[in-house]
Amino acid sequence: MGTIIEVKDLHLWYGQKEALKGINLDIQEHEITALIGPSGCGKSTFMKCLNRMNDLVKDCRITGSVKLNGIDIYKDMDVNMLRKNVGMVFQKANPFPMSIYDNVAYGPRVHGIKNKKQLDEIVEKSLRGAALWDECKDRLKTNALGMSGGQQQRLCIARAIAVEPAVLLMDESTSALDPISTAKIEELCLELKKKYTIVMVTHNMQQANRISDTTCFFLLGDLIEHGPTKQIFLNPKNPKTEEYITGRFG
Amino acid sequence: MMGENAIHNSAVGQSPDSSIELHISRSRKIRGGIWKGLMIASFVIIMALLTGMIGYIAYRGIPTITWKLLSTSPSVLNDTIGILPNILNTVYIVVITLIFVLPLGIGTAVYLNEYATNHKLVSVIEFAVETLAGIPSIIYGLAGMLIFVQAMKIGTSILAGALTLVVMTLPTIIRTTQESLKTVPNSYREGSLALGSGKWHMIRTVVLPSSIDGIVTGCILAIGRIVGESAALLFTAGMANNIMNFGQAFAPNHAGSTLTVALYMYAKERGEFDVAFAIAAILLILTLVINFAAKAVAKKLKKGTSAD
Amino acid sequence: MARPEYDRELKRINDNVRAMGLEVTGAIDNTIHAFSQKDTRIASQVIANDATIDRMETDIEEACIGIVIKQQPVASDWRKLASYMRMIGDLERIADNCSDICIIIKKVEGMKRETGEEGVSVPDVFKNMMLIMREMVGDTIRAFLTSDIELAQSAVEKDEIVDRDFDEIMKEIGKALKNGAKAVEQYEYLILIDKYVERMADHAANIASWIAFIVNGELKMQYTDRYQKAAEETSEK
Repeated sequence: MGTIIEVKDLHLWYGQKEALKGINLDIQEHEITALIGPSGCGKSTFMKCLNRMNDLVKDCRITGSVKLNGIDIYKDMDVNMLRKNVGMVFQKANPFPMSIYDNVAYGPRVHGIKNKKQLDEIVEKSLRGAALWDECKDRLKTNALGMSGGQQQRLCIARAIAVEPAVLLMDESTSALDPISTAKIEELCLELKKKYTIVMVTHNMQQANRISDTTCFFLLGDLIEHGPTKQIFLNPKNPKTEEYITGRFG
Repeated sequence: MMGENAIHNSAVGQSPDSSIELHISRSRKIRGGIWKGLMIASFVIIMALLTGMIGYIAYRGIPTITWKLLSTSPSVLNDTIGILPNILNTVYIVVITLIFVLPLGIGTAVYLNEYATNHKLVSVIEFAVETLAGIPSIIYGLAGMLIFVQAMKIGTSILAGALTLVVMTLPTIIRTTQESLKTVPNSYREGSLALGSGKWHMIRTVVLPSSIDGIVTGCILAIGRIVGESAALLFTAGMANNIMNFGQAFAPNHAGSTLTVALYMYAKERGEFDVAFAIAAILLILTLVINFAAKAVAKKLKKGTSAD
Repeated sequence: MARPEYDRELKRINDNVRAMGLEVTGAIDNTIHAFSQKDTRIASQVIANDATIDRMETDIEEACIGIVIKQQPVASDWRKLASYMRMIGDLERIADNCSDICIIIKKVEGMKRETGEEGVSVPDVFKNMMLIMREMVGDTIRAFLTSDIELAQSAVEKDEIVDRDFDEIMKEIGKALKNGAKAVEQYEYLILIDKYVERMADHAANIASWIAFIVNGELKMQYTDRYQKAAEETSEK
């Protein structure tokens, strides 16, 4: 185990507004890192810096460095290669309006895999990895939009891991799901962290508490406190963290 | 109405604050009924107009449709009327126009919606496109004649007519494509980009397939305009009734009249109303066939993206 | 987003723990008084009052369980509630020990009246030990109310004095019995009381150790190293 992502003095501006005010954080390999904080605190913004999804936002300016395995992702890495290595699962399940198979095969195809047999293998492996294979192996050719919300989200996870990323970003990925689907995805995360590193934004503090190894608390663009989840939830050092996690603020 | 309400309230209960009204007042019921009646009436009127017109055209036109009419050219020597050249010309013009207008229109829409970052410029272009859509077709015909027929020396021809119609239908294609691109959820785009795909790959594999319905709607609207257009074609495509093949249709100086133009000619210039109604009936059928064909193509395209 | 209802409930529980602490200190005072003055009336009162303390414990326990389920406390709130649930157990045991001592007092006094036997002389150190134990409990409760870790720590350290006194009393009783003391039964009871007081001091030390957890999250179990020491000592012999 070691550091996989190293963030140094990361500032981000949306136009004139400084949304991240100098973040320093090391993210450990094979851990689940939870980013918590009130709305607008910069946690989602921070996470989107890790796969450069902020590039899509107009007037977005970034200084500082983000290194993935020692390589600066803003200077020395092609953005498409970065996103292959840092996958993302969104808040709302967003399967493409295609078959289940094509959804999972989408990423591998983007990266040039055309061989049918190879694709079949990847699809099966990814769907198994997302604990979805048994539920959908008989209807791989049916449209993904016909699946339930929880299944769609797991399909998105399968789609993301089909390109074998090193890091998986999850942006409040269970906030739109019922408790049972949420539990399935949490269980899945604990399984996935053996192979991948997971960074998740969550508004659900119990969720952060349940499954993350490290918790980072953001407030108004600052990283107020980060540390082992157990310590953050039992004995936070910063009174602001305490206020937030005990629900007296935010 | 007020009186009625008052009576109603007092009848419901001694303590109006605590009682829940079980029925809406009669006046509200009546008002609702009136609106419902009006809407049903307008629906009936529209349906009557539509079926009446189609029925009348079919009634007048279909008996005149003979195999001879459909399969021959008009002959002055034999004094016979045949509309085969017009049918072919119509198909040629539709196909040639679409060949030009689809890439141009869809390309413009994709650029405006997916690539352009200068919002001011985009809104100026959008305004121009909208204005273009509102110009009467005769003006397109005039401009087409000056630009394509004379300045570009294509001559009065199917090609010149098609190019004129390209300009005329471009706004429709751009607008409908753009509208349907806007309905593609951003989450699809993000999802694709987050998997490491490039922008064009994302547009080709996710955005365009998801907006195929809108593009086809645009196509159908454009085809409707092309088939129904006469004014612009009088100036540009001419009035010849010779049979030609597709290759000739693509070459300059091969004039030819479409069904609509022919309809105008037969009805207005020669008083052949039976033939005119026959053409009208054929136009209706043709439009129907083309629409179904477009839908079938769309279905095929959609299937093509979802199955591997 | 404040949580007024939650805060009120937390405060209510905190107040109840405090009230229980004061009730237990009262029981200790009465027990010491009953022991030194041989006052069976006060002893009966302490025994009767035990039910009140038991009820207080149950009430606090229920409130804690309820708030945990309803509000999912974390951080300092959770540290407090988890500690309360352990602390009230220790407080209740102290109160039980008070009753146990008072029962003995009543028994011994009854016995003396029946047989006309004379009371044995209680070693001087006994009184000292009881007062130190009383001090420990009092300090602990004060430390709890003021979040004073140092005071709690000093209370924990006093446990050693109590342990020493306990050993000394045992020795003295042993000596007396060896020298052929007559009222053997009374001495037996004295040994029991000696042990009860020593246990009460242990409970006080436990409570004090939770205060450090409430204040800065440090878990430090007093009895662990104590028994370790004892284990080492016995294995040496």
